[in-house]
Amino acid sequence: MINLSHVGLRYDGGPEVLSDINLRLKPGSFHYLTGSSGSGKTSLMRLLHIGQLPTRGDISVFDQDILKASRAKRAEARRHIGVIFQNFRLLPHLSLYDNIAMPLRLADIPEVKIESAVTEMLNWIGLKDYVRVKPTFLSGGQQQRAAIARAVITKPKILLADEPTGSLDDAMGDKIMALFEELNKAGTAILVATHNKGMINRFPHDILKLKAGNLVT
Amino acid sequence: MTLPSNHILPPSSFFHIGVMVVFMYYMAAFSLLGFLSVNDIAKGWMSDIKDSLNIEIPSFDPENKTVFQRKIIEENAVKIRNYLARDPLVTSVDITQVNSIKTQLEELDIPAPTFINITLNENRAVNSEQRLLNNIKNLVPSIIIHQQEEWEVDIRHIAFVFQTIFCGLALSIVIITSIVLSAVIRTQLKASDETVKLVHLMGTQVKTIAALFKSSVSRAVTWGILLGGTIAATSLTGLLEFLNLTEKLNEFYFYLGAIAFVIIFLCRGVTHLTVISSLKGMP
Repeated sequence: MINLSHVGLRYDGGPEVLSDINLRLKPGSFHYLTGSSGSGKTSLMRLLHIGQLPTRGDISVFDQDILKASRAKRAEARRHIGVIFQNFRLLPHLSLYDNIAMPLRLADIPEVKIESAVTEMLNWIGLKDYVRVKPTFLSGGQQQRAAIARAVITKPKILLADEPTGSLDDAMGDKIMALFEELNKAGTAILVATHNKGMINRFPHDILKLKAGNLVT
Repeated sequence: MTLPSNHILPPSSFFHIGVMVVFMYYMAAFSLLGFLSVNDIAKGWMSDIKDSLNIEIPSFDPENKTVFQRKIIEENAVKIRNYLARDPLVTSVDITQVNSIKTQLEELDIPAPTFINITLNENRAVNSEQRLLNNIKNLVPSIIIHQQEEWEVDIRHIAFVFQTIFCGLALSIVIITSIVLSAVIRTQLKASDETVKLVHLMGTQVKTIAALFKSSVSRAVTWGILLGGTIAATSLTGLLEFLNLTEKLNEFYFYLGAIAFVIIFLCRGVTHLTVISSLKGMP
């Protein structure tokens, strides 16, 4: 699904923030990505969801060489990658409903199907009473749940989550992790960047550790 | 792609584009009115001049340095008038003497020159007036023909200058609209950088984002044109009537519609190019 080979990344001619990364995310795989602040977790996530191109090495996504692929092909690949951002990145001018519905609308799903999918998702994350509320009026935990709902509503082939349970209590965190496991069993490759050792222990999976821009096993 | 454009940017972001278009469209309508009225006035001047000839039967012979007798001048005037009455090229003849000159010359016992203003048939053959002038010259060799080409050239120049000014004004409006619009789009893109990046990361192509921007801009431009057009039509129609240009009303509305299409087309083009160039760096 995603294959990184000898990948390096530097910003504006500065030092390499990622060096010689070799990583393979297969269908149905589940990894945790750990590492201290500044170790390059966010940069690696950015490369994985094609939000950034590497300065060296090769990346292929869904058997497609991303460096050689056209912008249209890259955009097509991105549609199959769900991303949960650490800072949620909900659109402030849209209602909670429209935020969650957005990936489906981008995928040209009929509005009737969107309505049932979003309603089901809102029920599941416990925010069915906040349908028309704008994200700025939601708490951090509620925003995080909405961001998760938006990322998983399309049932992506790859799910990348940056600290997905950071603002949630343990019960909701476990509920989210259970959803991830369910998606994983259905074939979705999952990569969760986290510092939460308790969660890693409760839901054990392979761990990738980043240290100063290098992957250590 | 079924994503409505207001899901990328709130419609309020484009409100000031609509306001700008109202102003610009009104200015363009005003320039159009100026152009049409100058054009009309110039045409009036030209038609007055191009169908008339001025002939002078002089009272003084510069070659022999003698003064013509009053009787001869009157006879010459009669000869020319009789000839002109038979010529199908001529529609009317006006024989006059300038009173101020007449009074001054008569004090010196010198007859006043006679001026003959000839109005020609507008449906005449090209250069047919030359034949007329030659015949008159044969009848009365001493006549002086006041050629009006210089007048015509001057008037044409004046009309051309005014028309150029109004065209330049309209062109400036188009250029200013493009520059301001481009700046507004860039500002919007900068302000919505996070939103655009997010939508892009969700698999939206840059050209689709540009299309969504175009849709938002088109909506703002359309209401701007409708409002600006309504204001222009109501206020300037009265002005057209005041300037006796009511027969130009249809022409005015036609050009107003054409300008609206140009502005919409221009705004969409500028938006597309601005968005594409601004998002060039995205993978």
